[in-house]
Amino acid sequence: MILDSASSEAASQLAFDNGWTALRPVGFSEATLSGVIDLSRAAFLAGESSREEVLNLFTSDSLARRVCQETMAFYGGRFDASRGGDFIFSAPRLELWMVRSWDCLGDDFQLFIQRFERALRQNGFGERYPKVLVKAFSEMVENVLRHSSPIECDSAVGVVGYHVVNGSADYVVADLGQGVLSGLTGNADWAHLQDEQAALVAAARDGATRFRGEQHGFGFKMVFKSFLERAGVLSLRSGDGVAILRGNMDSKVATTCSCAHVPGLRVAISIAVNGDAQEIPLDSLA
Amino acid sequence: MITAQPDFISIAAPSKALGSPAGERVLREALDRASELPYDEAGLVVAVDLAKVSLATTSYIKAGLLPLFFSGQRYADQAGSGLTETGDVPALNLYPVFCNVDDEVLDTMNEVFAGRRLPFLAAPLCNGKLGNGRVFGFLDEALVRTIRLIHRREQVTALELASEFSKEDIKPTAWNNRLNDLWRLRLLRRIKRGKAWWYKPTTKEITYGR
Repeated sequence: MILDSASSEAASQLAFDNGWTALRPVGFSEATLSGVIDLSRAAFLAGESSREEVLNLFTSDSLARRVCQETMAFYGGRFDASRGGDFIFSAPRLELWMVRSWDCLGDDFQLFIQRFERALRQNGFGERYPKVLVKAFSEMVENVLRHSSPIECDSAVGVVGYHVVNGSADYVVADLGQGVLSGLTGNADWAHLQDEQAALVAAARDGATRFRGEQHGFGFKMVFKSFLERAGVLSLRSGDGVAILRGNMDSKVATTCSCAHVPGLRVAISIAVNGDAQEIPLDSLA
Repeated sequence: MITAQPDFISIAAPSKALGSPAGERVLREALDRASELPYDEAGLVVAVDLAKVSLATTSYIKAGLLPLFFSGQRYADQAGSGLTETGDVPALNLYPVFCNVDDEVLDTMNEVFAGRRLPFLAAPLCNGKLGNGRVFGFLDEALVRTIRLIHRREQVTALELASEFSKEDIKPTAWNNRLNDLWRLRLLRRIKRGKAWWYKPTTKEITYGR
């Protein structure tokens, strides 16, 4: 079984209903970036023993385990933005970052974005398209800083990351903040929204914004624009709601469901140069 | 002939254009520079050189480039009203021109400005010389038509337009309203000579769209 966004949502529900030890027999054979970050986020919030349980789902030398460890460390505030010599200008296929204030978007973050762009360029995304994708990614990262906290100029912690293989890419932005519904209902125009599922669709598809009089909040328009004529996948989880949107600027199809409540918003985006976009396995856990 | 001394400053935006603090820094520099200078009633063209910016987010544009436009527009709105200062940006007779803009950055700026039904002016800036401008964002069809009619003219009055384009069947008052709207949108500068307002494009020539 692959631990992707969908199975992470199911796994956290299983854990919330039956305890985190209930995950032991599941036996994930593979994991995606979004699956690992999302489950790590839920476990981080659930406490020390839950974190250990989730970490032990991954074999000791797996990439998924490293991502899990790093994610939990970042949520715990243990993050160092400095990167070693040659790495700074390299094109790693996978990298994670942490944001919690505008200061986090400094030169080091800019270099991180450039590494993502470079990785895309070296993995079949052409010369121009990577710029469009990193722009959408940057908008999603800024969302954490602008919208994750009910207090203006404050922000929750967010873990962001990307994973690129030949012709396919995933990127994830997942914070521990207030989620979408709470932010949107503060705007009288969207106060009628009843639940997280409706709020996610309103934000991602209908351009709902937290600030009255502002157009196109949350930057999702940029995401759909970045898919160009392709049908990318945008998988959102906020509080106890999930929304999956497929398509691009011309057509967006949304499906929603409920899930275990995890504070904050997770945005997972998958795009493929050719064919259907789907989350990319990090490595085999078997 | 409209003259203005000094009528042009340029500001180089740093490459970092992510987030509102970076936008606020550019805005502050532009406003500080403009506030230090004396300029006449034709106002001051502020050329923001974005050559180093290859990635700009909406927050950056909303916090930096858009308020610069609002500063000029606020001046126009208050002219003759007796108001002096309102809001969070000062009302200065500025004409922002965004220079050497990367295509992706231009696209994001278009989103932000057009989303508010506002235009902006983009132009090349090379060796301190401002080239011909292009209008992006949103512009009402009647104003687009007016821009097309006057784009190569040095200066113009409503009476001249009414006389020269009499086939358009537009009264001088209506031409005056259009020119005034373009001035409010910072696409034309203006100066009063006698009873008439004389208008001239903010850049040497202006055209609409790509």
